[in-house]
Amino acid sequence: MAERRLGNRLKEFRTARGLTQTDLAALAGVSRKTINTVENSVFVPSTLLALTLAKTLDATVEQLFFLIDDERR
Amino acid sequence: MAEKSLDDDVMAKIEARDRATRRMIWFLLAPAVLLAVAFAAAFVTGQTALLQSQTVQIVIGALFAACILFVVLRLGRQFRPDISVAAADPRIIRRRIDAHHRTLRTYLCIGIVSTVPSLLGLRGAFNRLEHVDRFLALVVAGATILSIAAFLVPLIIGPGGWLDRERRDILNDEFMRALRARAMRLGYLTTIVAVVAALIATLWRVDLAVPSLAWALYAGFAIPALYDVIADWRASRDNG
Repeated sequence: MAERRLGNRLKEFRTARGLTQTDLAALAGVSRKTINTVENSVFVPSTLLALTLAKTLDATVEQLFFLIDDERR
Repeated sequence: MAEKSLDDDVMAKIEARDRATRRMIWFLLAPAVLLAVAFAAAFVTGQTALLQSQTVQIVIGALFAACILFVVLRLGRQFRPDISVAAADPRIIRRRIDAHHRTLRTYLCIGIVSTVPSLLGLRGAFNRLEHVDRFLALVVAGATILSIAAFLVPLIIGPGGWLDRERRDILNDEFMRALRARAMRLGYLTTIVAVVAALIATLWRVDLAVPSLAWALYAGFAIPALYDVIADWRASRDNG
């Protein structure tokens, strides 16, 4: 059975724009911890936050987030 | 250039506040831990009479009073630095939010530790239901007040101007709300399990009713609080 989880390229996009986690948090209006946990796939963001991050980084949600299929035995 | 200088000034004040907080932890935790150790040692060795000595009570009371006075007089100003409202740069605001979270974690730890003497005092007091010792009752009251203060102070003072709606929203973003929800769920489960255990203990020995209930409620507060502290600290670690 396949289990889906959320992958992201947030760090890649953030660093490409020369932003720190604190900078991105400031621009998106959330705490740095939120950015940190989303980047590390610890926290799954809401649709609202995903759209906000995409808009902030001038990307689409699909570019930032993608599904990973994990095969479970 | 002026903005850079202002940022540096604010950052220096935030760092000074962090240092003051760390010193404050030592000055508030040390007597609480000492008292907890003294109570535990007295109960284990059966020397509870020592704790009722007037001299010991005066020494402990003076130690607590000195520590609290030192924190209020010496660290109070550093703990709440006068940061100009002009320093409203988003980067600075986030730094201050991180500093605020660190302080909250500290207070949570103080609350957890300072409740222990209260519970030990409670146990001691209820073992002497016929003549509840005045000192033990004072310890219970004092530690409880300290715990309540530990949670209320950061909520009331904060790092200045944190009580308006906009900044409260930033402090309570969706990750923080999710973390709090997880901690509360854990607290609910812990409380249910601990209260059932307290009920079983009461059926076994009626005199354990009040102390076991107190410990059950403490578990319902301390375990989710610890979970919250650890999860918050892990989320704060800079991996980026």
